[in-house]
Amino acid sequence: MIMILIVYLTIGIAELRYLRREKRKKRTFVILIVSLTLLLLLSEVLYAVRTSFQISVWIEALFGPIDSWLIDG
Amino acid sequence: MEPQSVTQGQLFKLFALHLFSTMIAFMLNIMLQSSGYNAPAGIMSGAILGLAFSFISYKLAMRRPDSFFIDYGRHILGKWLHYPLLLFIALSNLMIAIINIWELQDVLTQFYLVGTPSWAIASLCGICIAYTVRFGVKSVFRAAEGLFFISLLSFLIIPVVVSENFEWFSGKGMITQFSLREMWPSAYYTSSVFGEMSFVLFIFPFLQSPAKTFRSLTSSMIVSSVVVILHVVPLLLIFGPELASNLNFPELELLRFMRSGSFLETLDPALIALWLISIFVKLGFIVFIISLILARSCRLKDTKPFVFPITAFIAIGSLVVVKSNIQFKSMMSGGMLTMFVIAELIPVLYYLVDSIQIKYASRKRASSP
Amino acid sequence: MSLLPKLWKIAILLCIPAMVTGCWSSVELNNRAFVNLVIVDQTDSGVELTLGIPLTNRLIPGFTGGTGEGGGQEPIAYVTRTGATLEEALQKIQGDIPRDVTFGQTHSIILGSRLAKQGIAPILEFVERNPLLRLNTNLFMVEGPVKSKVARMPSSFERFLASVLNGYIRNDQILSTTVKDMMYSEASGGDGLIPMLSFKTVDPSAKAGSPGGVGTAGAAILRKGKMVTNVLSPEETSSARLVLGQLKRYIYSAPSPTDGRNVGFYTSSLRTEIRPFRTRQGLGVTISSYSDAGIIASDSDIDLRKQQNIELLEKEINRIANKSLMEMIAKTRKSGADVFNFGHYLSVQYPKEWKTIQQDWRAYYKDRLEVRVDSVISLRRLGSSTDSFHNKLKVDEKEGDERTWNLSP
Repeated sequence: MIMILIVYLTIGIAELRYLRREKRKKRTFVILIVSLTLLLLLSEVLYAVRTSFQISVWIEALFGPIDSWLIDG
Repeated sequence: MEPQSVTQGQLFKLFALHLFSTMIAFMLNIMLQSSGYNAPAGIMSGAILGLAFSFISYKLAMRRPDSFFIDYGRHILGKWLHYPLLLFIALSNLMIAIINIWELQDVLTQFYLVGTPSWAIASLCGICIAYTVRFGVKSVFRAAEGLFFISLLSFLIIPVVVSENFEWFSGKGMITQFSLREMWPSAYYTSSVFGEMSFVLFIFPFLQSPAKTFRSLTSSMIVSSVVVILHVVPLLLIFGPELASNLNFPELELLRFMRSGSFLETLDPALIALWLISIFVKLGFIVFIISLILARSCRLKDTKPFVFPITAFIAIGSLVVVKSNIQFKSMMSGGMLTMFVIAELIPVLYYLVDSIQIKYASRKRASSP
Repeated sequence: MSLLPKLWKIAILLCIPAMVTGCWSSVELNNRAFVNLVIVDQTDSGVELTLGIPLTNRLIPGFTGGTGEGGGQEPIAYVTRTGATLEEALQKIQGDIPRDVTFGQTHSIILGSRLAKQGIAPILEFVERNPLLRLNTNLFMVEGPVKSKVARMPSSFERFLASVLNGYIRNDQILSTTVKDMMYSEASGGDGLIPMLSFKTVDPSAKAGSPGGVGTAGAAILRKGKMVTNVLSPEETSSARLVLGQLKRYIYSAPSPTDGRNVGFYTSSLRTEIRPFRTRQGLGVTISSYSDAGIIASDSDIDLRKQQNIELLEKEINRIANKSLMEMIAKTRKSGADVFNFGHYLSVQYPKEWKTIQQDWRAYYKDRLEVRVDSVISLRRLGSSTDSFHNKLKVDEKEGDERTWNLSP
């Protein structure tokens, strides 16, 4: 859990330094920080519930019927 | 971003590498289980089907070869449809990358790096891929160009060294037991892999001589399907359909089947290393597509800032996507590939709407003086 | 300020080697026990598993402890444990060995006949599921309790029994059955022939260096993974090897059609084709084997310069080959074991008919399958001389010894 936070923080700092060096628009900074935060939250949530919930369950539920209809029907 | 920096040769090599490494490394088990003797026929038909998806994508791209689909797409379908569809494509590419990394760490921890935690493998793969992509589209294609011949050689060497174990008569089964019904599942699964060529739509402005793109795509399809069939047929001839469908990693068992005593029989780790790198190149392309979608949708100048976060998310996602091998298998045959096919068919929708719009516009122009 | 990015890079570079994945699960070579040979048997107290592990500290002759014993100690250790199941026995062995048991170098598995009678399916399953054990691991069988025979047997030609077995397989001297052959198809899964090894105990008074005590002898028939009472003799096993296309350089003798005296041959099988056919009564297979033969010795007065005599000889050895083939196949049919996987050939050629007989395939094989044998042996070589010694020098039978070249396997 903490490792994920550290990984994202490292990436964030490195990218922000790169952006600052290239003197990019403020908008770019904002987009980067927002997307990083979103991804971080999503990663932490998924990791925290990884034993009880998996993404694959949703995918199977959504696309499974189409798949079986195509293959078997 | 550098326009017109990718040659057609590089495109051909990237897609060929992408297709045959994915098929041989990950898909053979499902093919043999669902189709048995009809797997080679299924793979051939699936490859042609996948090429057909890409053809429509190509036609759409050729109408505006110098602008990015991500930009002009919203003029075709309207931005309320365009951006969600783009998000869906990005998500399915994300899933492709996640399950590929999961499968990589599954193979490695079971056979070679027993005891290594998955996060170490996922993060190392992630770092390699992220670094490749961060330097721009050119680096991914350069990597493909460099790897292509060695990778091709390593895939082709295997049928040759195990050829003494073939029972040629079993090959007759491919003709006598031909059945369209049995062939269809592997054709469908193969088309989901070969259809990934339709994502060439996104990188069209980067290509030199865009009109020749379809020729490169066709050559990739032919080379890859030949290589894959050169792997499936030995599996059927040596193990037979019943035993081969029971094996989780038939290609690894094939590698180990070389006659005892020769040094080649323990050569499989070296070949696995080459296969790994080929998968990295493929995933580099996929990560580039995802970051391209995100960057251009936000009207950013380049894709660089997004590469590392996306790769990190992929690496973490691969740790949480499934609980076990069994769940993975049921997911793969229970809908995952359909999600990819839908993503690959989205350009078809755009093409149809675009064609109607063009016809409507030309009719309007013709009717008004 | 310009130093900081460099520090970042150095820091990351230092972290990466720490993540080198090999370090997690690396096991020192010295810390591994490479299993050469797996021996499984059934005893009263359960499954007895013996692992033959070469001892690296004894492999260099003369260095065994610096006391100049002259290689008196065996370079291999046979570790035996018994458990209720194979896995339990394996766990006990691993618990007693200070190194990590590794199966990656295992090429042969020896089975005891008592275990074979009970069923070898657990062994086949273990090999198939284990990622390190290959599917082309060879199977052998020994009659009676295995461990004592193997442990007592010294081998002179090779250091390890496993090398002897590998040599047999490499030189095509023995029927080769792998785990994959036993599991090839569902309809005849578990049917096969497993070569039997014979162990002759070395006479303790014999001189040191006398030939080792292991040899090849016949084959066991397995049906559904269980050994049946019928056993193939060594001659019948060579016919079986002919069917499988494994017979290289086989030496035997046949009576000459002219005077009944023996002529010695060696045969090399080129290829064997098994082709299914269909008649109105049902299905059948034809076994066509093509071999080259040469004459080793002749004690007969047959004139080998005439072509028609050569053809007479060919006809005679063809007849003998066909006869022994049919007898061998009849033996396997009596046991109801489709050891040559004829079912697979039928399924490939006639899939529709195969579907109807698939369920009761073994019964069909036993009673209704038609088997035709067609051997084509071409006598191509006469050796370095043409006339037999007997003919040339007209050795009178009354004087001197009557020497017959009798080279039976």
